[in-house]
Amino acid sequence: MTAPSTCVFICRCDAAGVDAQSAAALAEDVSAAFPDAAAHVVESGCSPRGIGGIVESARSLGCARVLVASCAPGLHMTAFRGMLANAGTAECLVVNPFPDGAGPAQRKKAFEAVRDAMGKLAPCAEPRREKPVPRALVVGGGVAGIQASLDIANAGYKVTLVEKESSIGGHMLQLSEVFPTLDCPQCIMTPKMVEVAQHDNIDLRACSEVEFIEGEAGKFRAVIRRKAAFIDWAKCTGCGECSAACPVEIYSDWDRGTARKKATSRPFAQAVPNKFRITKNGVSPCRAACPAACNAHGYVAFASQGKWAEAYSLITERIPFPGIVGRVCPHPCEDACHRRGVDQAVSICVLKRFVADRMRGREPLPVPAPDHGKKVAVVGAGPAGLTAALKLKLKGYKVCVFEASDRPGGMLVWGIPSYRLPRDVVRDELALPAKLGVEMHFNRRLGPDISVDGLRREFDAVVLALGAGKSWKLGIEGENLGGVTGAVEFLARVNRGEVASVRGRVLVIGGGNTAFDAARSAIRLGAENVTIAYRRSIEEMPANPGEVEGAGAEGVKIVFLATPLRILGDGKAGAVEFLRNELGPPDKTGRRRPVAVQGSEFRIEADLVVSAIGQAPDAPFLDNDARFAFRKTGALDVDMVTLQTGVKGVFAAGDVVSGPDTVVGAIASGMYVAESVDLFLTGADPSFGREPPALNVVEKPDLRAARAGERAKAAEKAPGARRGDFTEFDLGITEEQAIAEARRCLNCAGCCECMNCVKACEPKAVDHAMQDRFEEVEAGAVVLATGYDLYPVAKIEEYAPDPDVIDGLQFERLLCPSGPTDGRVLRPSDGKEPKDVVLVACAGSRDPEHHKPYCSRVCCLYSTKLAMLYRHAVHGGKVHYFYIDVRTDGKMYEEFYQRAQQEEGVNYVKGKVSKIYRVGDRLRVLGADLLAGKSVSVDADMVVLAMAMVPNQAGIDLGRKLGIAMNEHGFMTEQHGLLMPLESSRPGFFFAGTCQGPKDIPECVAHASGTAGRVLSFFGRKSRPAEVKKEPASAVAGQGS
Amino acid sequence: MKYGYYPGCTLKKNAASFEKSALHVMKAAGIEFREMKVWNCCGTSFGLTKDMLIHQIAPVRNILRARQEGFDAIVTLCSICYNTLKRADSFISSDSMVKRRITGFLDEYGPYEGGFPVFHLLEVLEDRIGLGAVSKLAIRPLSGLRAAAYYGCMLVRPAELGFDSMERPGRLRRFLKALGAEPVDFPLSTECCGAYHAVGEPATAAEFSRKIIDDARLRGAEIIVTGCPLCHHNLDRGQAEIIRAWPGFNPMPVMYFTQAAALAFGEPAAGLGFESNFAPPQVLLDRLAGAAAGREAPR
Repeated sequence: MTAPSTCVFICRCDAAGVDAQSAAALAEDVSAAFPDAAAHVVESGCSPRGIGGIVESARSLGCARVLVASCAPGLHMTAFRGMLANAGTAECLVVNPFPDGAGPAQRKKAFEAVRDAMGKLAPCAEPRREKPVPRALVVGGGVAGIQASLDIANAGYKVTLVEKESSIGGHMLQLSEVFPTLDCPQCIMTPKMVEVAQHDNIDLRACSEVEFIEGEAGKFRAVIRRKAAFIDWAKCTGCGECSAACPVEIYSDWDRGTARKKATSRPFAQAVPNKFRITKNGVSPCRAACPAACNAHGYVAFASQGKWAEAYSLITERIPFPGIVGRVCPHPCEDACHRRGVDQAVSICVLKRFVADRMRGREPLPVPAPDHGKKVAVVGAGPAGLTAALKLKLKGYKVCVFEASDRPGGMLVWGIPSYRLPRDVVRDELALPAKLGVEMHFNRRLGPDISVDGLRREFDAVVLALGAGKSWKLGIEGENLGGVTGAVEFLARVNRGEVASVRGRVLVIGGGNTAFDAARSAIRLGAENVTIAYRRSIEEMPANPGEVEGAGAEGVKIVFLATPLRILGDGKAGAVEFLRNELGPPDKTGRRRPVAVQGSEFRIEADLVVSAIGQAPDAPFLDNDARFAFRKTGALDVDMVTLQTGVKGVFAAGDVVSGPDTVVGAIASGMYVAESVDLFLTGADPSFGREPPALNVVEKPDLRAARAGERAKAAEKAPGARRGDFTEFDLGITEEQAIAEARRCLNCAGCCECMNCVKACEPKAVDHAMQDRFEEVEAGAVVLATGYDLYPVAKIEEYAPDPDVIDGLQFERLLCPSGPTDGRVLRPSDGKEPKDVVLVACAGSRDPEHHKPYCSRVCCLYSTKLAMLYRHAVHGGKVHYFYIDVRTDGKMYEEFYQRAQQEEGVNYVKGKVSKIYRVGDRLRVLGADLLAGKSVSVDADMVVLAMAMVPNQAGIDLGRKLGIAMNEHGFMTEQHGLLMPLESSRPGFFFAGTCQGPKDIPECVAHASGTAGRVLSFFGRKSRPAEVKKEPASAVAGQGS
Repeated sequence: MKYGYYPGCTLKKNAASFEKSALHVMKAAGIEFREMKVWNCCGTSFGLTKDMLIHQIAPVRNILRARQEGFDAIVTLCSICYNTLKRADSFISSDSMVKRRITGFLDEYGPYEGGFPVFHLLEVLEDRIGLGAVSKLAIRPLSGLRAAAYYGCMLVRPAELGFDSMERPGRLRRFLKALGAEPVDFPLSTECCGAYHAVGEPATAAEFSRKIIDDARLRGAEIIVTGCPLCHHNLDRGQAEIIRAWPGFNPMPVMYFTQAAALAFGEPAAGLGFESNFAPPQVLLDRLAGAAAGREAPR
């Protein structure tokens, strides 16, 4: 008889509930199905006698492969394998055939389990004989991860330690002092942290996360994401200049909201590695909304720090005339502001005006690049033309501006009334191009004085920024009567001082800002009765709401849903006949289309009729030139990517292209055309790469650090006093208001990209364009030490959300001598020292009905410690400590508790807290005193909740990705709860610390050292055939007993 | 959806003002409803004794009758009826043995698997009609009225039967806001009103109610609004007992959310049953009258 290829040993014992009949039946089925296998029933296979018998039989039969059918394969596998390997068996698997108990009903299932395992055994005939890769990958740099890393590294093996935060240390470093010794955690931990950083065998990867791990025990390949810190850590010296320069303050996770941190920061002074990191969440919506791409977030951040010069420089990078734009901009940035979701938008535009006013007369002059000889002519000295001129001058071009009138400004001086935009502001700000050396030529008209071709011959490029200076005609009967004029023409005459007064009834037709400018100017010139007629409703009205309101206050009447039919009068206008409209479906512009109601004619009497329904360029000399085409709106038709006209080298910008637009739109257009001209003149293709960059705009701001505060309101002259007064009525805000207003900013993006840190960093380590990098690591074993977090306070609905209801870690920060309050206990709401503090143990723990059923293990003692520290810190402070029962199962723990009770005067109340709510400036705590048998009510200044410990979410996510078994709460499951508490369900993955279950610090350290021992014994084992091989997971799946 | 209105005993007697105002509101809101032709006692607190299956007969029979009369759902006003009917239905749905025995006893109504919808009127108004529509109906909005929304226990407890969060409910608050009122922050909105202690130990009930009313006042409330007849009884008529024990106590008006809604919808106060209040809601009535006068002046 030849030797059987496989031996199957079927274990029978009473403890596992396997009766002789079932075992024999299984042996019979196996023999029938596998003729060349030998099936034996063994009595109590795991006993010394049983295992001896198995080994003896296998040796005597000369079997290369053995299958043991017994209970608890996970536990027994190692022992059987070891013994059989010594006896010369190459392969061994253990499978549980009776996970649901033995008996005739289980016969088929038992056989199938063995049959499947036989199938797994066969392909493993050629075992690999590799040694494990001598490197451990440790995930998580808290106290457990640090301990495991040091133990493994000290034994001579390599370790890669991955930490998602920018420093190792974990929650332990957030604590004030630790029980029961009352050591300072910073003092006892930093030596270990430094040892990690300096250890030859440890590669520390902070600010990194494990992307995935593949392979098998002994040989894993892990990919680590090195998250961009936006600061090159190889160059960073940890000096902190970047943080000092950073104007942005955001929520501090490290201080759990008890303090704010800079967007450029490190968590604490002893951080390891001692490097800074920039928090970036994307682009703030205000910044993305600006047509001129002005960094609104950045200058608001500077304003919040009172850094006016920095704010001014940042604004003028994109908007060269901030005092003008700060007065007349319709501020799309504020429409996009996320603060609207809290109360009202940050008053960004008013802040811009404040910065400009504040810096007036002290403006830093930009320095143009050296002149390189190329020449550009700009026609038109409005905002678009002057912006283009300025930008080109800064790039080193020789720039000449030709303006038809006698001064710069265009619509700023001829269109916008001075009560909105004082002329001295315009004069001063628009003097900048000339100051930098731009040549200004006034009273030079395109057509009579200069020609496009002439300019083109003399200059390398030409920019036409002619504006839109002609009002659209109403196109109705009577338009040529006296007393009928266009709004632009009317305003230009007013601004030239040609209209001393307006008498009688004025009717303005239109609904844009120009209509309001005309109407409000008329009021100031003495008109008795001013009416605006608009064909749609207030919802569709394009004018700024502020204009509508202001005009209303000054006495302007607005008639909605009216379309003019004809102007009536005898030689001179006397009235306008209108048709009443209804609103139909939306048109192309998205506004609802007015539909006339037949027979609804009505009249409005008027001595002066002003049409303000739109504007077009006033450029008759171009009309007859076939190279220039015009659109239906009257705007000049140009290539929309390059803004180049039909004539090569002749570009156009501003209202002449867009039709009447805002000042900020004109500036954006000027900036854009300057870029086109520069590309054109440097020989590049001006149409290449001009798409606006795709912006990752922040959709949900972090509201946790939002400061309370109402939007600033500027002082204004009383409406009644504005008649006849063309001086500015909006008096702006004070410095105090400006800072308070800027501090309302939610800092949606985190970093505002003001680049102040770049300027501050001496070693040039800051890199705002840094990307995440990926690194590959080979390791023989993985230690998961992903740690815990606290169950959120908000989950307990009967405790009112309140700044003075805090969790244990927040209290740790308030007590910590190096914390945000330097160890003084000051409550978050008003910074007062709390005289009565309530501590609530088991907040969220031991509450299977609503929260977590388990005991979080550390709360009794750490709350006791907090009570003690509070009593030391606050003289005469009272502590009421509510508990279910105080568990002190640890060395010196009971003594610690007794000390708190007897010597430190902590008032322990046995009972749960049912409700917490604010009454005046205190918190009312309702609960039970079970020993007294009554309900109690305590008024406290602050409440500290010892929230349940839950596994860190990042650890849960990683565990899921790696296929590590976890319980319903996310704690990782051991291979065996009692006897294999350090091994995860997946071979080669071990764990350390609280990711496996709640633990205190000494337990974490012991747990981590134990894990390190397991890893080391795995690394150090002599190479044996059965050592490193594919573990058929399903062969151990039946370990139910 | 056709709603069978299940009134229950209290609505026909002590809480007649609740019913009267609710009928106005349901009509105004365009809810398709009719009072059930035949109904019996909801079963009240007897339904809590799970082992006494006979006590589940009353509520289940009400549900089966609603189904037989062709309704799609039951709408209730009384919080206790709401709770009892829902609880009985959930009880039989979760236990097939119980279901078999009870439906066997009620076999003249045909087989029943459980799950017939039972709503409180507040749910219908918010989830079916919508608060936007409610706002539009409020032609005399309760502008500036600082109201404390009080839930008591039966509308929100236990979690699996309640119509909102047990600890921080918001339905009533949102509803009042839709009517134009200014609901105050009110932490004691789910504290016990004293419940049936009003019968045996009125002093105990008075102590409970006083705490709630005092807290509402502290928060700046001028009125307490509720959706439970028993709460209304304890908080309103219980004030007589409170004054006996604390003679300096200032009365605080209490009203049903349906009374508030009916007023806002333009119903005259006279027909809404305020005369049975211990503390009449004069603040609100005067203000509404004033506002109406103010509105009419320019004409």
